[in-house]
Amino acid sequence: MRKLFIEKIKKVVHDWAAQYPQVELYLIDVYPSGIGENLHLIVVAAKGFENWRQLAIREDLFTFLRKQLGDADVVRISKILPLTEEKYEQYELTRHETPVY
Amino acid sequence: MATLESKLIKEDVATLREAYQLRKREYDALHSAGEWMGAAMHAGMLLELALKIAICKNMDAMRLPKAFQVHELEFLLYCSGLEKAFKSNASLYNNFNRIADKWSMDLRYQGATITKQDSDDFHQALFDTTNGVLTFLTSVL
Repeated sequence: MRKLFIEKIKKVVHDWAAQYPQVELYLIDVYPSGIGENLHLIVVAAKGFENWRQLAIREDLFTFLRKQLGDADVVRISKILPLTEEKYEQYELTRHETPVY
Repeated sequence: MATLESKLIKEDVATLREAYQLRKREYDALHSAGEWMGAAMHAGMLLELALKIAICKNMDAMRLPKAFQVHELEFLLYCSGLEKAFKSNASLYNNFNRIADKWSMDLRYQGATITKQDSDDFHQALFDTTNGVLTFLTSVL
């Protein structure tokens, strides 16, 4: 069930990106957050995110996901993180670090 | 063997509420002064404090267990007993995640990575009169 939903999310992200010719996707990663049934979505673009504010991309993508998936399913995604390749490399280096308090 | 006392933070929930009011005044001052990075830091801290107060309320406890002395907003929301209420309103939950996706205590080590627009987005996500996260939380706490 979850696998099908993850595939559905990836398809919707591809459809979203197709609206923007300047965006070239590099990676779509959807994985369980480890908290309840929540999923995290990371969208990495090889091109097209450099001059687009991260929170604005996130909001645009959320609006599209909400329209395509509906309210009941979109709330299963608890993180939407659009990243350039460069930012993704930095993110990957630190994502499994234990937070410092 | 560790005592129960040692497993709780020393401040009680009334002190957390005072701290919330103080952080809110600091947040307002930073936002008004155009200190976007500081305002964003405080925005996340306000949300974190509100969730910790919600956890105390959910547990009917006067003091927060140290186990909740963390900064992960998604985890704190899950433990607050309010996740279902947030998820029943996709706009409210999205406002929560707008903050949670971008904010972390690591911001304190960064330069000016938060723009005026980012700060305004945070502000709306927190204080929107209909679906603001803190508008909602302060109405139930």
